[in-house]
Amino acid sequence: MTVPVQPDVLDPMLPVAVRVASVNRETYDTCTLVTEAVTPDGLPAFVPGQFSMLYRYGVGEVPISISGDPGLGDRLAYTIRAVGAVSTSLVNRHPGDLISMRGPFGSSWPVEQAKGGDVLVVAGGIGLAPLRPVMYHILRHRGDYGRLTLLYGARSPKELLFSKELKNWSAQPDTEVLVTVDTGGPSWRGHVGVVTKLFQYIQLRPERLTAMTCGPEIMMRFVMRQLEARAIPDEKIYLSMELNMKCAVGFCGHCQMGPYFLCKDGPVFRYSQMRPWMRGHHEL
Amino acid sequence: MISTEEFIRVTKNQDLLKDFGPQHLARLAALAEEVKFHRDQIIFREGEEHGMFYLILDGTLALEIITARHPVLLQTLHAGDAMGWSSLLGSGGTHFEARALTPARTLAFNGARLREACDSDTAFGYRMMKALLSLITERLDVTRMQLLDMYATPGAVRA
Amino acid sequence: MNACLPDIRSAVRIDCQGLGSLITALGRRGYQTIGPRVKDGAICYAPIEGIDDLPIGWTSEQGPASYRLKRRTDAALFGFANGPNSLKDFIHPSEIKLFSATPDNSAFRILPNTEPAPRYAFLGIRACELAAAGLQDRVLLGGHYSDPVYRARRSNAFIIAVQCSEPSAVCFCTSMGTGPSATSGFDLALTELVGPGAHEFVIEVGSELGAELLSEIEFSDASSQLREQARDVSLAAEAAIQRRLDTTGLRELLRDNFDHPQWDNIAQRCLACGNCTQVCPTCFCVTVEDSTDVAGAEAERRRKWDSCFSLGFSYIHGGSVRVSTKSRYRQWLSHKLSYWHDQFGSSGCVGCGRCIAWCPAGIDLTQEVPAIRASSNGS
Repeated sequence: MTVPVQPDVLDPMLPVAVRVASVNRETYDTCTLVTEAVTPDGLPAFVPGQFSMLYRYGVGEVPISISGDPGLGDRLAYTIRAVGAVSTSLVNRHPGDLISMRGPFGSSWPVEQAKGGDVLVVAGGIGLAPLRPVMYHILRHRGDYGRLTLLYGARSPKELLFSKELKNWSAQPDTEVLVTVDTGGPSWRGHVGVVTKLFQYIQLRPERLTAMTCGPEIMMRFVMRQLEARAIPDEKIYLSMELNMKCAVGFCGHCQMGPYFLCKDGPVFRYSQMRPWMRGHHEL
Repeated sequence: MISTEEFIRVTKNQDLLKDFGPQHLARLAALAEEVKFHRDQIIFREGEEHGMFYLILDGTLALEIITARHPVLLQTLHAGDAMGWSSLLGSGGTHFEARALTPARTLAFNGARLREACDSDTAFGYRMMKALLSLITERLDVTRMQLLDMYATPGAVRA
Repeated sequence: MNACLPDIRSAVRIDCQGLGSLITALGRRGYQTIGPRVKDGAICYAPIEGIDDLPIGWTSEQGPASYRLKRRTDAALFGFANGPNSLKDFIHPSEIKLFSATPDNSAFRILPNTEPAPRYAFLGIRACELAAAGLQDRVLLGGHYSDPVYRARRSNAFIIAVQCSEPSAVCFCTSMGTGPSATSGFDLALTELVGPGAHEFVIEVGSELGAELLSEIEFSDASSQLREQARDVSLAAEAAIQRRLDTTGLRELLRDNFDHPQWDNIAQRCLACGNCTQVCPTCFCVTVEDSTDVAGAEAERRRKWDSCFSLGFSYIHGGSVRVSTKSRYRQWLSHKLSYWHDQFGSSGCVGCGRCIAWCPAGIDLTQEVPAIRASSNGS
């Protein structure tokens, strides 16, 4: 995998202030915060797949994937779903507010290794957020890649993220975007069903494919089955894992899954690494 | 009914038929009729004694159920999918409503006549039932996964 | 004071008074000496001012779920094996403030904890503890990021090791290749020689700083006979170790036996109390807590020891990943003996045996591992 950028800091536990430049409400419980630097040093660069720890004064810290365009150097965007105290507090920010961040941390999606071949992106729910930088990157360097296919599943039409971009992307050359929801609504005329069902509507060339997926773990397990059935090798399948994170730099031990620290060995892994840990056991 | 060659040509993407030999395909061809639907056409309503089995060639169909407030889209079906197998079992009315979301082209089979063909040619019947079993298993898996509501926040009430 | 600095690796002789002077010399250089003393029914590391604070004439009798202080027939200063705490308690502290934050107009200001790291001189550190410190160095200093708290305390530390003379029944350092002799990682290393009419120490120099300190006190040459006596102490200690752990293929053994019934067996006895993680000198897990005072005038981030045995350890929105005691014990032992190899290139266990003595249920990994091996799934 590409060597990700890790900011050289003396104390990785001290957050740095950033300003919210804009807030985009994606759905009723999810919004994208675009942050900008507060000092002339600017913001650290990131590679697709990385995350930051975002801190709210007096509330706490959470790991959030960076969901923006890695080609735009002066902004770091985070798509956040309100599930707890900190994330809810972040979702309610306004432009001009200050928040703090530590990062970026973690491993990256294989945008280098995938060059010259086809790319399949399978996203479920908020899992599209850490994959959006991959889409931006590939479309910005379109000539470096073959066919691009995005399969995206969400709970319902009103929980779809980035609708404008989805439309935009499907209009790009040699790019196919299929979107499905678990339950349709009165005006929904698209696919209804789980995201894995979309596999039957696409053609893949296994010998030149890199697959990247992110979503609920159970979804990713089913995606693995579909990819296996189509003879995609484990080493060409990448996923982004999620677990409890506290320090994000490999000291606190919380994010361990088997021998891996999700914060520094991941969150992006090859399926060949993760396979023994995704057997669908009750507990790890 | 359509010619066997034509039938084989239009159904080459049908997973259901992938293990059927030429004789059995000919049998099916003899029972098949091309049926088209326009956008928003209701193919059958809930509880109707519809009695037809469909292979979808083109377009999007939807299975819906009417709740207290409005129809809820349960599943969409596309080229390569099949619908209406309960007609083969002869078991009363349909469970859901089926509607064409877009103009659609299908091959339709009379359920009772398909059932007769299975009874009289048991080799064909066995092949048909095996194929349907595989289809239904897959549909069940996919439906169960939908039930999981896996994108929901734990503890959240389904909106 | 002796005129020239002793060489590193050279050995000289001091007596008890000399040891006292060493502690005084350390105090003059701004070190707080931490050494073993009898405290709360055990021999624990705590601040000491002189050799009178040491557990003179005490030893411990240890076994699974059992630790008892016992009187010796001599006046040895270090005639005992490890107590419940270790270097870890001081260089990887159980609780520390990382920063505080105060509101500043519509934003807030972060104030890092700038308290200077304490300067500790540790007296009595065993070979297994030195090995444990080496393992923690790899975890906390060996990656892309290093932990500034640990880094500061570790580099400030002066270490006087003691060569074990009296291993306890729970020790198995020989199986882990970590003892009983300390050969590196110390500034000075003592071997205590106590017999009728004689009480002296052979002291080895391990670093330039050690040589400097030594040159501030009275010492004499260690005769070859004395040095041989010192070596005999280590040899006797090695022979006295009874507990064994066969570490062959241990990494694969635990990795491949995730579903072994022995885990259920252990789970019936394990209380998930986390004592083992507290006393283990290599366990490093911590949690980070953000809090604010009631008025919201100041927020703090504190770091505290955490244990993989606690239910909240693997919590993610929706619930814990490891709910059962079985899964938590399995995680602890598998991490220690298997995953640690993948993560850091060695075993995470140094064979000190603390987890055996301090487990209220007496769970003994040197017995549990063979039970898994006996009916293993692996090749």
